[in-house]
Amino acid sequence: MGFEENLLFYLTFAAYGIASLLYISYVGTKNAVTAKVAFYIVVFGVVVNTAAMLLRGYIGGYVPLSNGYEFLLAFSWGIAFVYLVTEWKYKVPITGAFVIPIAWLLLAYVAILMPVEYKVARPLMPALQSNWLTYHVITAQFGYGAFAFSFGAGIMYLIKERAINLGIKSGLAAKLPSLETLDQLGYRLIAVGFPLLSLCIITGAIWAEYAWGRYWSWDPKETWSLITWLVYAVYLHARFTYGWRGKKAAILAIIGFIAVLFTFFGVNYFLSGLHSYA
Amino acid sequence: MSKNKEDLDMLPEGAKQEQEPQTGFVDRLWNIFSSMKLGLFLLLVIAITSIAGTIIPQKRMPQDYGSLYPLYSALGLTDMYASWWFVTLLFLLAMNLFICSFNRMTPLWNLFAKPKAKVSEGYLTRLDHHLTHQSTKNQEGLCQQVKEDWQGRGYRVVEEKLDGKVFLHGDKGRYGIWGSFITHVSLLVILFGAVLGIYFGTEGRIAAEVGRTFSLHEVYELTPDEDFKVRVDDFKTIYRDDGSVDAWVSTLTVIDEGQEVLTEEIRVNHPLNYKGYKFYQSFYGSYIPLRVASPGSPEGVEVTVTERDFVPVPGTNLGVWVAQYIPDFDPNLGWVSKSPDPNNPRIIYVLYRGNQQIGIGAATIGEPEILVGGEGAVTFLDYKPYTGLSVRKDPGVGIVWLGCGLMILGLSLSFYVPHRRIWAIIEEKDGKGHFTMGGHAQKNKIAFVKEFEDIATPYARKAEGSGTS
Repeated sequence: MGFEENLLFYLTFAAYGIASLLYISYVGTKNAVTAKVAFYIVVFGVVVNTAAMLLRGYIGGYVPLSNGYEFLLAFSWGIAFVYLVTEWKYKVPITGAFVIPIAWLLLAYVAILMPVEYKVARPLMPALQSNWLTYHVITAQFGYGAFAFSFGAGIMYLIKERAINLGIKSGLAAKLPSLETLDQLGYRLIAVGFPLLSLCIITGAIWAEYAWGRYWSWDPKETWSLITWLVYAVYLHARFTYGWRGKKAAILAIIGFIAVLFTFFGVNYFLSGLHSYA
Repeated sequence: MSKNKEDLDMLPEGAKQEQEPQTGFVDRLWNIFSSMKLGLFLLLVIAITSIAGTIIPQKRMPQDYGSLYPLYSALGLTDMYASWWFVTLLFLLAMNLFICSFNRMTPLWNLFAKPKAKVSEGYLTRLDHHLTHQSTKNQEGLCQQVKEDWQGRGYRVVEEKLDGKVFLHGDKGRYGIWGSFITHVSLLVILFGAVLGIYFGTEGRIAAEVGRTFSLHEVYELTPDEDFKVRVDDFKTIYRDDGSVDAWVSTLTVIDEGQEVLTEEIRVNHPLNYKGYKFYQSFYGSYIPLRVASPGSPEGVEVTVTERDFVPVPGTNLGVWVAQYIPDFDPNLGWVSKSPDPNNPRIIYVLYRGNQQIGIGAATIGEPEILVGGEGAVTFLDYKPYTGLSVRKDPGVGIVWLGCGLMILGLSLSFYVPHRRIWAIIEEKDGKGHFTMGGHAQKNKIAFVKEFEDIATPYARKAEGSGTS
C-alpha cells in the first residue's frame, strides 16, 4: 500500500479512535460541546474513510469491495454512517460511546493484525468480477452498520437495567437514555438492518447463480448469514407476538451481532468454504 | 409497559373468531401447526443445527472423518443439509408457515377491505392514545368535522351507526397489513422453488477440448431431457499485464437438430443459457500426449498427461516434470507468455535425476527433446487445452427469484408502511356532540405519538395518555 492509502487509512483510524475517546469522556462529563466535537470528528472520519475507499478503487481499477481490507473499510464506514444518521434523527449522543468504538476496533484489527498480503490492491479473480458482488457488499455494509448500532443499544440497555435493579441512581447508568428509548432504538435499527440483510443474502445468491450456477450451496459463510437472519427473525417474532421487549430483546440483539461478527470473521478463521478469498 | 399482542389480538372485541375446541386428529394437527411457538422453536432449532454443518466438513470422503465417521454417518452429519431430519425440519417449518398464513388470510382481508368501526368505549380508553371531547357542535356537525379532518390527513374512514351512536374508524397505510403475510408466503415460494430444483433439476460436468462437439448425454452425471449438441470453438485464458488471470473464455456453439443456433463466449459470471440448460465456465486444463523413449526402449511409450504431471523415463533414473504450456514463448520472459496467441508455443519441462533437478527446457511441439546427451528422449506430440464446463438445469430458479422479490416487497410493506388506526364513538349529549377517540399503531409507535397529537389537537388541549408502550 502506498503512502497516500496508508495516510487516509490512519486518518480514518485516528478519527474513529479520537471520537470514541471523546464520546466515552462525554459519558462522564455530559458536556454538550464534547458530543458536538465528537460528532464532527466522526463526520470527518466518514469523509476520509470514503476517500480511502475511492483511492483504493482508483488504484486497483475495480470497485473496492473484494478483499478483507476493503470489506473492513466498508464495514467501519457503514457503522459510522449509520451512527451519524441515527444520531441526527434521534439525538442520543451517548450511544456514540458504545457504537463508534466498534468501527474503531475493526480498523484496529486491520492496523495491528491483518497480514499485508490481505491489504494490497490485487487484480480481481474472475469470480469476483460481478456487479452483484458490489450490491452484495453494499447491502451488507449498511445492514451490518445498523446491527452494530442495535448491539450498542442492547449493551446499554443491560447496563442501565442492572443499575436500576441494584438501585444505583448515579454514575454511568443514570446518564444513559431511558430503557424505553434504548429498546425502541434497538428495534428501529433492526427494522432497518433486517431487510438489508435479506437483500444481502439475495444478491449473494444471484451472484452465486451467475458464477457457479448455484444460488445456495450451504457453504459456511452462506449458512452463517442465514443463521444471523434467523436470529433476527426470532427477535422480530418474539417482539410482536410475545411482547419480548427490554432485556430479552436486548440479549437477542447482542446475539444477532455476534452472529454477524462470526459470519464476517469467524468463518474465515475457523471454517473453510467458497468465501475463503474474502 | 403494556404487553404488545399480535395484529389480530388488536381487533376490536367480538371481531375475533371463537375457536370451537377441536377433537379430530386432523384438527388437532392443524392446531399444533397453527402455533407461532412451534414456528419460533423450528427457527431456533434450524439455526442451531445449521451451525453443526458449518463446523463439520460436509460431503467429504469417509477417511476424512477418521474414527468418528460411523457416528457422523449415522446422524447424517456428513451431508447434514440433505439429511432426512434436517429436511424434515424444513418441511415442518413450511407446513407451519403455510397453515399460519392460511389462518391469517381471512382476518387480514377483513381488516384490509371491511374494517369494523364498532368498538366499545372501554376498548378505546385502554389504548395508549385516547381522549374524550365535548364539542359545541351537534352530533352530526361533529361527525362531519371528524370525518373531514381524518380524510384530510389521508385516512380512509368507515362509518357505522347504531343506537344513536356513530362509530368511526380511520386507517392509514393499510397495505402494510399484508407485509408479514407476503413475507411468510415468499419463504414458502422460495422453498417450493428449491424443491423443484432438487427434484427436476440436474447438473453435470464435462472437460471438452477445443474442436470437440459433445451431446448433452456425454456430460458426466447429467440426466438430460433435451438432446442438442455443443461445439467448443475456442478456449483461452486472458492474462493481465502483471500476469494475473483476467478471465477464462470459452466460445461455444449450440447445434440443435443439425442447425447451428447460437454462438456465445462464456466466462466466469457469464454463462450460456439454451433451453433451460446453463453452461458455466468452471475449470480448465489440457491433455498432452507425449512419447518418451530411452536406449532400452527406442520405440518409446505413448502416454497422455496434463500440466504438472511427472513422467519417469523407462529404464533410467530420469524423470520429466511437465510444467507449463506457454503459447508465445520468449526466452527473455521465461515463464510469462508474451501474448495469449500461439505464435511460439512451447512446453516448459523440468528434468530430474532421482529427486535432483538437473535441467530445464522449453520443448517445441512435435520435436524430440534429447535428454542428457541421449540417455532418453521425450516428444510432446500435441497440446490440447480443454475447457471445464458445468452444465445445469434448474426449473425452480425462476420461482426462487420470484420468492426473493416477494420477500423484499413483504419486508418493505412490513417495516416502511406502518398501519395506523383511529376510532371515534360520537354521541349526542344535551344536544351537543361528545366523542371518545382512540388510536393504535402496531409499528413505529414513536412516530405515531406525534401523529396522534396532531389528530387530537383540534379537540383537546392535550391528548390523555399519549405515552408509548
